Amino acid sequence: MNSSRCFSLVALLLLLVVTVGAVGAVSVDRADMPDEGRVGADLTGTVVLTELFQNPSFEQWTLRGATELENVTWTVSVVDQAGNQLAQPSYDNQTFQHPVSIESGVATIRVTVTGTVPPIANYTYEPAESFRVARLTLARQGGTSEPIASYDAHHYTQASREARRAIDDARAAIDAAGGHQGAERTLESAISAYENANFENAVRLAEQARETAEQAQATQQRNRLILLAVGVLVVVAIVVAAVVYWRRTRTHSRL
Amino acid sequence: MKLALIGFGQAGGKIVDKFLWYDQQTRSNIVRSAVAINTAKADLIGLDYVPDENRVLIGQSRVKGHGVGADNELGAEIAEEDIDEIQGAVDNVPVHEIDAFIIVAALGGGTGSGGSPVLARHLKRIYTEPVYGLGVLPASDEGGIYTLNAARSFQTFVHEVDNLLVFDNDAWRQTGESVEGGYDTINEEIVRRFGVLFGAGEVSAGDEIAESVVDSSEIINTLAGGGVSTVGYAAEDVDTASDSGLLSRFTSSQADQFEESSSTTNRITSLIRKAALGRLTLPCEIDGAERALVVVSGPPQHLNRKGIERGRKWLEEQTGSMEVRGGDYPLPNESKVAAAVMLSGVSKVPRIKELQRVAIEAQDNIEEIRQQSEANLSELVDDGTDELEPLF
Repeated sequence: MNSSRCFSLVALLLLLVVTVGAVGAVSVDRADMPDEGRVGADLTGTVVLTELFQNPSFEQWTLRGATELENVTWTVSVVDQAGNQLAQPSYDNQTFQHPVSIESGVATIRVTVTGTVPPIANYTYEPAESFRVARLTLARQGGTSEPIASYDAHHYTQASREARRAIDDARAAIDAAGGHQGAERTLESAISAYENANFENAVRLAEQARETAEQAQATQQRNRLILLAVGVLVVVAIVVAAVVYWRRTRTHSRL
Repeated sequence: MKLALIGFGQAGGKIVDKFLWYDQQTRSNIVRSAVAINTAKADLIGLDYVPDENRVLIGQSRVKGHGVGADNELGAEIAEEDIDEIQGAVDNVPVHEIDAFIIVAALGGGTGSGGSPVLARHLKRIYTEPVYGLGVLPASDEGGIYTLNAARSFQTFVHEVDNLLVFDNDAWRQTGESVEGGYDTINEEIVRRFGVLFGAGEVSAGDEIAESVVDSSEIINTLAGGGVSTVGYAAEDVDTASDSGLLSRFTSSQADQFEESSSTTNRITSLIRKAALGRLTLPCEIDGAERALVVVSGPPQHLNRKGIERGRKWLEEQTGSMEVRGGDYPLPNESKVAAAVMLSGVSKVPRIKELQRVAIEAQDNIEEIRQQSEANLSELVDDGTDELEPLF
C-alpha cells in the first residue's frame, strides 16, 4: 500500500502542478470563415480543432460555441485519430455546449455553423459593421474558461454596400488629389448620412465629393503641365537669347 | 580715318552698303556717314544698310526712276540739274567729324560714271576736306559701250578729285561665278583692303595702341599730289594658340625667342612684298609711284618694328619714292597677319592705255554706225521698184 499510493499521489500532484501552471489552448488546425455576408443571406463557416488535450491537458472539458447568426445550426463532428467519425451532434441555438472527453478517443473536432446573416443594428462607416460568426471557448467544470477562437464578419445590405463603395471611391479620389477641403467636408457629410442609414444621400454626397476631388486633381495636373510648358519655354528662350547674344557680340574678322 | 562715303549709281551704292556691313560686323567705325544716289529707284531700294533718309533719287522728271541706260552724258546732265537735291543729303553729313569724302562709282555705267565727276567738282567748291574718288573699271569682256564710258569718265573724274583710287574688275573677275556672287566677292575684297587702311588709325578706349599709328594725316599726305592710286594686300594665318604670352616668355629659351622674332620679321617683310607685287586693285608697274603707305595688321605679338621697317625700305627701293610711310595696326583678336600697301600717283598703267584704246575703237564704231544708219534704214524700207506707197 505504501509505495503504490505514494506513486499515484505524486503523479496527481504532478498533474495538478502541470495543470495549474499550464497556459495555452486547443489549437485551430484550419478555419474556413467568410469575411462578410449580406443581411438575410445564408452563411457557413467551419473550424477544425486539434490538440484537444495538450495545453491545458484537461482530460474532460466542455466546448462552448456562440454566434450572432440567426436560424442557426451548429454541427459538431467528432473524429478519432484514425479519421473515423465518432459522433456528429447538431445544435439549433445561437449557443451550444458539447462535452469533450479523452476517453472517447476523439482527436479532431470539426465545428460547422450555418445560419442567416443578422440585420445591422447600427450603421458605422469605420469600423465597418460586423457580427460574430463563431466564438469557441473551452470551459471547465470549476468555471474556468479559455478562449479557443473567435471569428467576426462584416455584414451589409445592397444599399449600405453601394453607399460604402461610393464613399470609398470618393476617399480614393481625394487622396489622389492630395486632399481637398471642400471635398473632405462633403465626404464627412456623406459618412454622416451613411451612419444615419440615409444611403441615397450618402451616395449622392460621396459622388459629389469624388467629382470635386477629381476636378481638383485635373486642374492640378493641367496647372502642372502649364507650368512645365512655361518652364520649357523659358529655358528655350534663355538658350535662344544666349545664342543670339553670342552671335551678335562675335565680331567679324577685319583682315 | 573717318569717312563720308557717297555711292553714285548702282555699283557705287552696293559698295557703300558693303562698307557699312563691314563697319557693323567688325566695329571698325570708319564710316561716319553714308549716302547713296541713283536715277534708278530699284537700286536704291535694294540697299540694306544705307539709312533711308540718305538715299537720293535724282532725275525723276527725266527718266522717271528707271535709270539712264548706260548713257553717262545723260547721267552727268541729271547730276548737274539735281545737284541741290544731292546737296540736301550731303547736308546730313557731320562734316566737322570726317577726315575726307569718298565718292564711289562704277565708271562703266551711266549714273555713277557721269554723275560722280559733277559731284566731285561741287564738293570741292564747298568743302575744305579732301574729296577722293573710288572708281571701278569694267572688265574687258563687258562690252564696248562700258569701256567707252569708263575711259571718258576716268579722264574727267581724275581731274575733279584730290586722288582717284581705282579698282579694276578685269583683274578680279573669276570665271564660273554667278553675276551676283561675283560682284559680292569683289565688293568684299574692295572693302577689306580699304577697311584695313582707313581703320588703322581709329582707336577706341580699351583698344591696343599701335607703336606707329597710321592716322588720317598719314593717308591724306600719301594721297596728296593727286593722280591715280592702287592698293595691294596680302594676309597669312598665324598660330595664335601656341603663344600664350606670359608663359612663353618664361618657358622659351633665349634662342627660341630670337628665332621667333626673326620669323615674325621675315613674315612681315614677305607679306609686304607679296602685297606690292601681287594682285593690286589696279594692276600697274609700281616703280614710278610717287608716294606709298604700308600698314601691317594682326595680333601684336606677331608684329615688330624691324619687319615693318625692312618692308618699308624695300618698298622705297622698288618704287624709287622717298615718301614711303609705314605703321602698324594691332588687332589682338585676329588670327591673321596682313599687309596693305597703298601706292599713290602711279603712272605706268598699261591697263588704262588698253582701256583707252578699246574706248576709241568703240567710239569710232558707234560713229560709223550712226552715219550709216540713215542709209541702211532707207535700203531696208525701200521696196526696190517704187511701187508701194506709204500711207501718208
